[in-house]
Amino acid sequence: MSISKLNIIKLIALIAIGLVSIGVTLIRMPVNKSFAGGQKIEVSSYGVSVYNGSENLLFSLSPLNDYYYDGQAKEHLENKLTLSNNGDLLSQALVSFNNSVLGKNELIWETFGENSKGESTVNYSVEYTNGGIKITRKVSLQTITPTAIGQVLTICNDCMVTDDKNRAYFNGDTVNSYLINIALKANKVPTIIGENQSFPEGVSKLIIIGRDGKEKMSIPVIGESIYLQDKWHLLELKTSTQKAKDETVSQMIYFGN
Amino acid sequence: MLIDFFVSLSFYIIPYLTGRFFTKKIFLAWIVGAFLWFAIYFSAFYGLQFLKINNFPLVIRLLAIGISVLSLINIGYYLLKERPKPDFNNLQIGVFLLAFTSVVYFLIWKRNTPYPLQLNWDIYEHITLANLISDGKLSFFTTKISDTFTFTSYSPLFGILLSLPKIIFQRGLVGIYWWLEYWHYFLTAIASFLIAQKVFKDRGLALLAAVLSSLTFEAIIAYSALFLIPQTMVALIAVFVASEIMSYKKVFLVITSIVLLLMHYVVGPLCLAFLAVLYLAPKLPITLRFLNIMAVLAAGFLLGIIGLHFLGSWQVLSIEEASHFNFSVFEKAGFILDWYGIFLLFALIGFFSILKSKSYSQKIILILAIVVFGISFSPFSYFLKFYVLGHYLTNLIIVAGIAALVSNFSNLLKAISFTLLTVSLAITFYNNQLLYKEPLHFGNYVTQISKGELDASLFLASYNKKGNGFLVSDPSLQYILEANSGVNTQGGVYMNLSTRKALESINGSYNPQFIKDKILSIKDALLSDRNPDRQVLFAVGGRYFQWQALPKNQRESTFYNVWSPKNITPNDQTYIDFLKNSKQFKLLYQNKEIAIFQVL
Repeated sequence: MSISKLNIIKLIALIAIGLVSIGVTLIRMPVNKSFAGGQKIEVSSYGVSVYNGSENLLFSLSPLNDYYYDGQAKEHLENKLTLSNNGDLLSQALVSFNNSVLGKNELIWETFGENSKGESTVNYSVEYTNGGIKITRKVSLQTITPTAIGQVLTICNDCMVTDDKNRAYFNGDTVNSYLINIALKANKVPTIIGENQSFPEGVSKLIIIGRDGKEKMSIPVIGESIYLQDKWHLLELKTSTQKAKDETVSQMIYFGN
Repeated sequence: MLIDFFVSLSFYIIPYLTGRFFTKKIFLAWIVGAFLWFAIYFSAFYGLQFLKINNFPLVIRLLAIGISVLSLINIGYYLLKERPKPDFNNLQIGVFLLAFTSVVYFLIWKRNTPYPLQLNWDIYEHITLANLISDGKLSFFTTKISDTFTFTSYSPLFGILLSLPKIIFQRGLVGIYWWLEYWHYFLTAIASFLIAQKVFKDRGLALLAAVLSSLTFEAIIAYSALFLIPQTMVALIAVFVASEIMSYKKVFLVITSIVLLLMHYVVGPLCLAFLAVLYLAPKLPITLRFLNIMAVLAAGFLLGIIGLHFLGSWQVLSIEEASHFNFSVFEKAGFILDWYGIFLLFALIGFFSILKSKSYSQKIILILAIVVFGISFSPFSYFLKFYVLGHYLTNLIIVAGIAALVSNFSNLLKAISFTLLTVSLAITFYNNQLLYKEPLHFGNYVTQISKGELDASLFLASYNKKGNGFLVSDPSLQYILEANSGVNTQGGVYMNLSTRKALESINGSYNPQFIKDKILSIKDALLSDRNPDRQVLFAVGGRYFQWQALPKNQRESTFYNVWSPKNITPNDQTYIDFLKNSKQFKLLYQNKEIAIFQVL
């Protein structure tokens, strides 16, 4: 049986398309989950979500909740999230390489949206490092050079925010005797603050506890102003910026047992 | 499970038996039957209203059984009289496709989704509609039957056909649907085979088209092969009709057109236009050169559509959900890579190969494929829906490209090439379906609904014997529980903004009277359904608590949902205990995922 040259070329073309198709498929598999440190970190089109070992949501991140500050003015980084992905092809390949070859545990989530001042892009990088996760936000706003970035965590529904001074924080409109009792049982001093009122100075660590009083996670505080909107489970760490066009801010989160 | 397997067949068999009185063509008989059942339902509905008889389901059941028995006798008489010989070649193809689609469907697609768990989020609104129709609630406008429908994009024809198994066998539809979607999948492979055989007159290529159809899954908006919904049904009907349209009598052409339009008001007209071109083109004095010019113009149209993306994108419907279905050209390119890998390169080869060929039918299909592809991928929200038809047409052009490469190969080399391509496609399909299922993990299953939620639905159905129950929960629980229990909700998953705001307002509240007042303020959007004796039920569960934890804008959007079941966490339980210990709520039922309260 002899095969003509033309048929050989056709066969090679066919095999090449088949193989490249498989290659493209494998490259398109997004790196959107990490199970480092016993937590599951998941990037979806809605946000970055972090779950504990029992698959219960600990907190989530979204540019729809994060803020930028322009002097006294404050607005969400994105009021409308138009597009998000796990990075472009190059970034994905780089993350895949770092994670599989260099043993890193990193996920990226790039978002494109807009707020009342124009288009904005917020790129999240979540990396497991030093026994916790480091969350880095790279913010680029079209027309604004922000004076501060409000890094917001949407914490678990029934979590309670406490600090290293044994205070448990509540907003006036959501606090009730049931919650106060839980705080007292956990040996915390119930402290009422307004939604726009920052936590007292001197807090060096925030400790998020469950209704059973056990620590779920902790966040080191290094000069940030802290705000709580209990109704929406939003915990904000307001970080001053360098007033540059592109700003990068980060925070560490450690997990309880 | 086995009963639902047989019951699911009735979705296809009863309309077929009804239409069989008028034609021996299998697909046409089904279409005629579907049309007749649409007419029978409305006639029975208005007739019984006129006679003031309130027994719609019984009348439909008797009619369905009577017509089916008569038709079976008629078929038996025909078989005895004519003694037709079976076509073993076609039978072999059918058995192969049955085996192939079964392997792909049950071992890959439904591998971790055992009976009756589901992967199609849209089925619940159709089940709700079919349930209501079964109870004798009928209107030409779906929005007047249930407030789950916020606009009318199809007639109740699909719901009527779905209600037939429900009325006749009096079984819940979710298990039936589990099987129905396999039959749909199998039929898409058959339809792909038949149209490819018509176009290429080559069984090997037709088989390749069927395999290609089975292994390409449009995992967003279109869902051609794996989901059974009105838009996929209408495309499937159109492709079956396309394979035999020239032999249709005029009356059947009219009936087919009506069924296509009733099945889907948006995709139906496109399918009708597609069939009109196929029917009329051979009757016109068109030259091959003219068709080539048209194909090149169609390609120009497609390039223009791609260019249009750089000027902007347009939202066709004013509903909020539509804004989330405007995709950039790069996102769409990503979709195509996920669905096809780089198999569209074969379509490019197919384009030039068909231009060189002397086949009228291939050139017409090429033009239609390019135009439908262009329309589907134009920068308008929801237009990707049109790709339900594009699925079949694009595959034909891909097959033409592969045919151009293998045309001079020996049979052995052809077999090796087809095997390699099938393996490559299977890997693409495997990855593609994994991506789709990614947010649907629940324990060891991949599903949008759990056994716990079905158990809760059974409880609700038995509790709601008087039919005055009104359930309040988060959108996804409302959607699932309403479909499977028949207990009314405000809008299901499409609950309106005021209901969403009422639910938001009770988030984190530990004031039971306030929670009760807010829940009681929620009313069905259909005036006729506002029952003064309603029994209000409040369901909270893992999904509810996760939905309440979503950002505000996501809670107020119909686009965002909690897509998979969730367990109640120990912390959620403290809230359930709080409600249980209040005077305003009485716990009626609880399992690991859901607690259902009666609002006192």
